[in-house]
Amino acid sequence: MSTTGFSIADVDAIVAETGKTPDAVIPILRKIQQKYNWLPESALKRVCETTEITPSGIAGVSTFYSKFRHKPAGKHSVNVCVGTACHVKGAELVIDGIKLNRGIPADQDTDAQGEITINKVACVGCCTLAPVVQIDDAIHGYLTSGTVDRAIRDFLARQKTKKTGPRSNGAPRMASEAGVAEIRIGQGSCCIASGSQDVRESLERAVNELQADVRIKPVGCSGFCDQSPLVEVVDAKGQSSRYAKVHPDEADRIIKRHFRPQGLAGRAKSWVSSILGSMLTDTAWEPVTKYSLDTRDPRVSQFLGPQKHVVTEHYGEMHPLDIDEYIKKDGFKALKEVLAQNNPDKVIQDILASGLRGRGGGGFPTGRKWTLVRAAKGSPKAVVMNGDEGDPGAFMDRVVMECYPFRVLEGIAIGAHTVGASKGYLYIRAEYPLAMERMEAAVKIMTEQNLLGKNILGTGFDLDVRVMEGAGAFVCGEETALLASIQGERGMPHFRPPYPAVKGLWDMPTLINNVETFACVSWILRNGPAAFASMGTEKSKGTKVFSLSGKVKQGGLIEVPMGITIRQIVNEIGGGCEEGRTFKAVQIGGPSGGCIPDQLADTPVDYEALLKVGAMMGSGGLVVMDDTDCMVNMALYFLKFMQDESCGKCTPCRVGTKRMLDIMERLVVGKSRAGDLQRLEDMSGFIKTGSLCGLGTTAPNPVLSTIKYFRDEYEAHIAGRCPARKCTAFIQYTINEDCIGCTRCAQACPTDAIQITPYVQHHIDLAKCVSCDMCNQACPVDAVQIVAKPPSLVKATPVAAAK
Amino acid sequence: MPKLTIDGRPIEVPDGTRVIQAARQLGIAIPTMCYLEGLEPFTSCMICQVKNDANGKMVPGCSALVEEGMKIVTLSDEVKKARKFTLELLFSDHVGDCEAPCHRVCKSHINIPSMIRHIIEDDLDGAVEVLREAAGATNLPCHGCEGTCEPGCRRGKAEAPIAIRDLVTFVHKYGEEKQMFKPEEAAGTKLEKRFNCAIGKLKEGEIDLFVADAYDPVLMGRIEPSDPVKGFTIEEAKKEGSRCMHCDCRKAETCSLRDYADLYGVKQREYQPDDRSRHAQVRQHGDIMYEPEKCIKCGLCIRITELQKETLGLTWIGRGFDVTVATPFNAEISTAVTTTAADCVDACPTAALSYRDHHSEMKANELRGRIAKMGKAVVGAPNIPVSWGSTALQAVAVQPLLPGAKKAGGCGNGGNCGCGK
Repeated sequence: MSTTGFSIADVDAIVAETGKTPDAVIPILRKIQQKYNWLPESALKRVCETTEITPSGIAGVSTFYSKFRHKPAGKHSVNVCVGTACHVKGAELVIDGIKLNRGIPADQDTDAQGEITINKVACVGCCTLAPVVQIDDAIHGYLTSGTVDRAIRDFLARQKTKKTGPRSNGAPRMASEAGVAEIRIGQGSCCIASGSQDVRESLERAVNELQADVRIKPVGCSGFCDQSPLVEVVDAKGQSSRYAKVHPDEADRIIKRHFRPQGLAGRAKSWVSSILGSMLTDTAWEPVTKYSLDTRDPRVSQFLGPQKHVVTEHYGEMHPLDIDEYIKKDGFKALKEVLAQNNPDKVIQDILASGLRGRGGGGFPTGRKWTLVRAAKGSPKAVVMNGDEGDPGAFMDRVVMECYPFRVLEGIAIGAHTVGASKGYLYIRAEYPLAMERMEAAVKIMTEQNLLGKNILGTGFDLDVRVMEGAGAFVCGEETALLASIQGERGMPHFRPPYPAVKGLWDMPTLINNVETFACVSWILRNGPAAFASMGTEKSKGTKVFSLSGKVKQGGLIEVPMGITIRQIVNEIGGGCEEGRTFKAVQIGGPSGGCIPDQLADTPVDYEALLKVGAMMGSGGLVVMDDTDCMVNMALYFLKFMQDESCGKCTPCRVGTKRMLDIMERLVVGKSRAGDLQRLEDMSGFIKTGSLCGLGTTAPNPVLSTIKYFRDEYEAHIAGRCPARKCTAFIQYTINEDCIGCTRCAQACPTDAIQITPYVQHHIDLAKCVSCDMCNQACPVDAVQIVAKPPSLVKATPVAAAK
Repeated sequence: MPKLTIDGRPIEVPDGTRVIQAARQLGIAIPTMCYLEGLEPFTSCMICQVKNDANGKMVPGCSALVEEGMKIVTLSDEVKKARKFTLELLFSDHVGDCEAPCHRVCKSHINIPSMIRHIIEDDLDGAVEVLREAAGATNLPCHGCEGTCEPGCRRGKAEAPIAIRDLVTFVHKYGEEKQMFKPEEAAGTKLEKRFNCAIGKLKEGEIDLFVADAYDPVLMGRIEPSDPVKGFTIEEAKKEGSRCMHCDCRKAETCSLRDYADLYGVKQREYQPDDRSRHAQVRQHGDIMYEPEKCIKCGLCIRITELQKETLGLTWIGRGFDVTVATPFNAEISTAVTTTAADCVDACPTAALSYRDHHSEMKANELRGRIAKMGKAVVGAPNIPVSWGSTALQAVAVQPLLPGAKKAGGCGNGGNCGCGK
């Protein structure tokens, strides 16, 4: 891998299969990196020799996107998600944990053995399993600084013994038929991350052994993301039982609970093995029913109660890539009608009447955008799906692409036909490999069935669809930057107007809509615009998909009618915060949005209402925070994210966010200067009005909204206190007399700050302590306490050390 | 043809015209550093912000297309504040001295580094010009001065300061001998108080890096005239001059950033980061010098090398705050910037790209003249700084300049040498 020499033949082969035009640069770089794990300079030079790509072009592009590496990497990549949900659940501690355990110095990313390279990644979209680490392609959830090393060691050990086969694409094995029992198992990233593939294999084994008359069907996300892997058993009569957090070992018992073995011999065999099973494991049936969920279960009915499923229609019961099933459930009905009627004006009227607005965050009326592109002069035209969902804490678009690819593509085809576009591009962010795979597969299937491609269904309508993978740049969610990226350039936005509707991709009039927007289209046309408009508020119609995560009992993917209040979402759907914790605020709209504090939680989900309280709809990430979360730390987190993701083009965003960050970083270590709060507010104003694109104009929002609602916390930090005891500069660890002397803390401590003293109260050497929290996690009796650091000590720490 | 008003004056211009272009037609100069007539706008520096009173929004004048009914205000308190904010941000990330410390403390305000460059380039006439510009008189400018210059010399912080007084005496003597000083010339021109970006106190380690950047870093130890009465010989003067670290800015008189700093009353240290990047001079190129810490990331040079199809050219490396302008694959800048060197230097709004010395500059001027005659100039008018009229908040008219016609300096070097003319 990392040591593999570069070969001209490899690079030439990559160029041959990818293309020689400048827009091939990102796919070429991606493939070179796949080959070598990094981008050897000699390979890039070879690309320049054999293509139209210039040295300055390839150097600029390859250093813009964070996925590309310019130095060798370890054999395996350990991507630590630092999305919002992971952040609030301790992602930074997880990174520290890996580095401390594997002896990686703070300023480096690869261990001495060259086994692993740590990368911070911006949200892999498995927020309900936070904190999440992706080791190569596999996602591991619920890790802590104490457990992450174990996960890595297990992974490395497995690599030595096991040859990994290609990941199952989840191709449909058999179509569902009425009257036949089904076992549905989730195939979204969250489910796969929590082991649904292994569960599926166990289920298949169990079914084969029992010869039960049942089909195992991989299905899309059911929304219960933090209960995954989720197995739903539907018997021949349609009775459904759900099992949450299923372990592969439990598959056998689930099957036996519902299905009788075929034939006497089978029954006897089953009887013997189940006796053996219950003898060997005294838990018997208990684990199977432990997580049994039922719609009559109050938690489930509460979670599902206020939801309305438009984008996620037939959630959790369809195979994502089973086109026959999709058609059976009215799929492509809308597209076929649109093509048959060939009346684009009528389609636009319907979309306008439905009140659908862009779901990517801005909320521009979709019908009006379609009108503009339809009216724009120029041919050909293009349609682009914006699947670059980058807000940390948001994973709606990932799930929609993974689970409803046909629905999205149907919307795209209708949009393309309406505006007169013949070229389609799906731009999907690099962190979503499964979404990419499913969308590509769906395009292929639809093309085979003549639902895409040339002369679609004999109507003369052409639409060629290409899938483009992003390469790690949040700013590419901005439409002009996204277009630049498709064109093989650095993802730097340009000033609008001209809008893409007039002059977009390669100067073609271009329709860009978000994944969710496209996914709404077919429902609206099938059910009529009035049905859609009947949901929601005066100006915000229909439903909105949110990813609910953070400090709630039940997180997951939810779809709610517009107008529902934030409090309803948190308390009813999310089940409120954990026992003993109080709800503090919810961050909505990701880093561009703002926080909504408890006292404003009755704000409805409505574009204008959210703006009014200083937040925004955004793409739909909802991260709930409780009283243990520090709002200054949150604001710092979001600002740091935006500053990292700034493309660097315009001064206010490039330098302004950096200077704001300087102030915030001083604040959380107790080194603030006089007038810093006022300065933050003043700078925010100039950055908001003076930045080129949406990233810069919204970057100060989290700071502004937290200053507005949690000014007392800022003032506490200035005074040298962190009320939530989160900011490490203001806290220290101590062990109280509850200590039973079990030595676990000392064993867990990576810096030897705790001496092993069996049966005696332990002590922490503060000079060595790095506040990694591992002792706290290891302690069985809660004897490790976090206390405020004396102000004199806070002041004494030099700025550099404090940071 | 959209109709709009700019500062209350109506104008009707064709569709697709930019606000900055429409304003220029009215003789109103909207400041800009990243926009160059003839290139697509890049919308980077953002000091061109103007307000559209029709919708209350601030827009970048260089990129905004004219729209029917726009009411553009190019200069109001709000606009000025926004520009000042933007400039102060740029200065928070701008490391360099407008004037060298020796120059600043010299009572006669002699541009000492420029004088020294003339000496080491064998252009003693040029060196005398620098003296004349500052002191004017026939008298030795150091006469009656106790020597404030040498304690200011940065090299003195590492080892011994440059023998500035001996060098000035040497140049003055040469001028006297050639009768270059005219008795009728007034002594000392009035000093103009200008904005001065200063590196300030050097931090630990920075001074060594500075010395490493000197023209001849290995030449340690001060050289004294072998004959104290006659003073330096030409060889000695050149050798001592090679010790100079050239802390000055080569484009102090043509730098747009400095002009705008003067105009908007910018405070250099409004934002004080805890860390700053170190000042560095990349002198791999025979003719041009690159000082990355002076770059404001306007991308003009990148666009010029691309447009004129340099084989390597310049490119962006990285993104966000850490983005830099550099050559692809770490190539030497001399191989990356060949035919476009003069265009890049002229277009660069700061001294990130400048001529290495007076020779290079003169060579470029000749070359530029030839290109202009051949009618092959690709790059349009350079941006020229503007000033406010005294009675109204109205900027002076801007005439597009031809390449080479840039704000001619008194020394004949196009004003880029930093000699103060």
